[in-house]
Amino acid sequence: MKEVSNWKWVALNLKIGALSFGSSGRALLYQKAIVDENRWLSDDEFREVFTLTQVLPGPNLVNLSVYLGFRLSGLMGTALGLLALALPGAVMLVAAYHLLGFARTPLEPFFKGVSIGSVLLFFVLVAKNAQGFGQSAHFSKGVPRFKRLSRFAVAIGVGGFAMSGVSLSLLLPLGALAGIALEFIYVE
Amino acid sequence: MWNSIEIKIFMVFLKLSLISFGGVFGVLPELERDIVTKFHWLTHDQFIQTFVLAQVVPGPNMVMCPMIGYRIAGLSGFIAGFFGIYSMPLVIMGGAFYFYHRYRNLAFVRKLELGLRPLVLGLIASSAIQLWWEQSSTLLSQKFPALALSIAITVAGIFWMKSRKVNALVLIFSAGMVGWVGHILVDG
Repeated sequence: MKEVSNWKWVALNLKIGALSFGSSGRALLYQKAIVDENRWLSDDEFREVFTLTQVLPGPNLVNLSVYLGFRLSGLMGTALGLLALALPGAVMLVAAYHLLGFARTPLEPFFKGVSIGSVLLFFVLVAKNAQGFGQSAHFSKGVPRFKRLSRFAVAIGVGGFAMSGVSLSLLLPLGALAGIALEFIYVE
Repeated sequence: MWNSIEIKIFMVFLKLSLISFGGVFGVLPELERDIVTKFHWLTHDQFIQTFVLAQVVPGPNMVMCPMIGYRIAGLSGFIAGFFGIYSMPLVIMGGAFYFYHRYRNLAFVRKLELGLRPLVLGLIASSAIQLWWEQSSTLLSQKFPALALSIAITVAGIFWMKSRKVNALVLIFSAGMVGWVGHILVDG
């Protein structure tokens, strides 16, 4: 199922790998390019892939890029896309090490601002995908209110406990159990 | 051959890619234990320097891994670190795609996946807030103007993204410029 040419997939990864900084909030860049701009996937399928790549082990952004690569482009495109995502930064890092050493550069405040900008993407990513709690492929009216609110409650509960320092080895199974139980008990 | 330092570097990062859940931040202590305490490849200071420098180059936040390999063993260390951290995601995501994609339309699988979405979003929201707080409080030398500036960047950025179709990369760089100007005005 080759929907996207190798070249297009590499170009997208290169753009994200060579020009963007900071957090895994950059999943938003994939979402915008793949769903909003090119319509290679539906909103719902992107959320599905995103969920899957986050719960499996591995670096988030890399997992996302690689899974999407297999889904959209095939093995060759995926491998080249991964190189395009990861190699430019690594080479720049070695170059920066030789040119600057570890001296603090006057650019530091710029990069701090950049990192706040990229956390902002994180917030937008969360907001954009929380909208999915109310959308349903089966009901044109959307998900019934009780179910929608329960999904929000699980998300907020997990987020709150995570911030208050509850260990992930406890939080992950409980959060997963609560979310899955909700889907099976409250059938649409 | 099997005892060469490149193989060891490769294995350290391979293990890291398997246990990392979320970004590089969660596994940083584990990585430091291997690199600094167990193998004595780098000192604590060298490790932190590398991490800090890696924050200012684009790419996935695992970008520091090939660089650590490079500091230990030069170009061959770079290659070992690069393939160590990025090869398993290719294998795991390839397997996940192969199995998951053929069963994704089963009602049972669909419910499991929907059930995991609140968990994933909750975790992302919590790490976004924590990351934002960390980076905001160190944007400038004093905490209060730093937080005020960071809130301003975040709110303005979110409105900017909502009101017009602004390119996310432009937004990130603009946030960087604002951070820089703020630094010049406040810290001189």
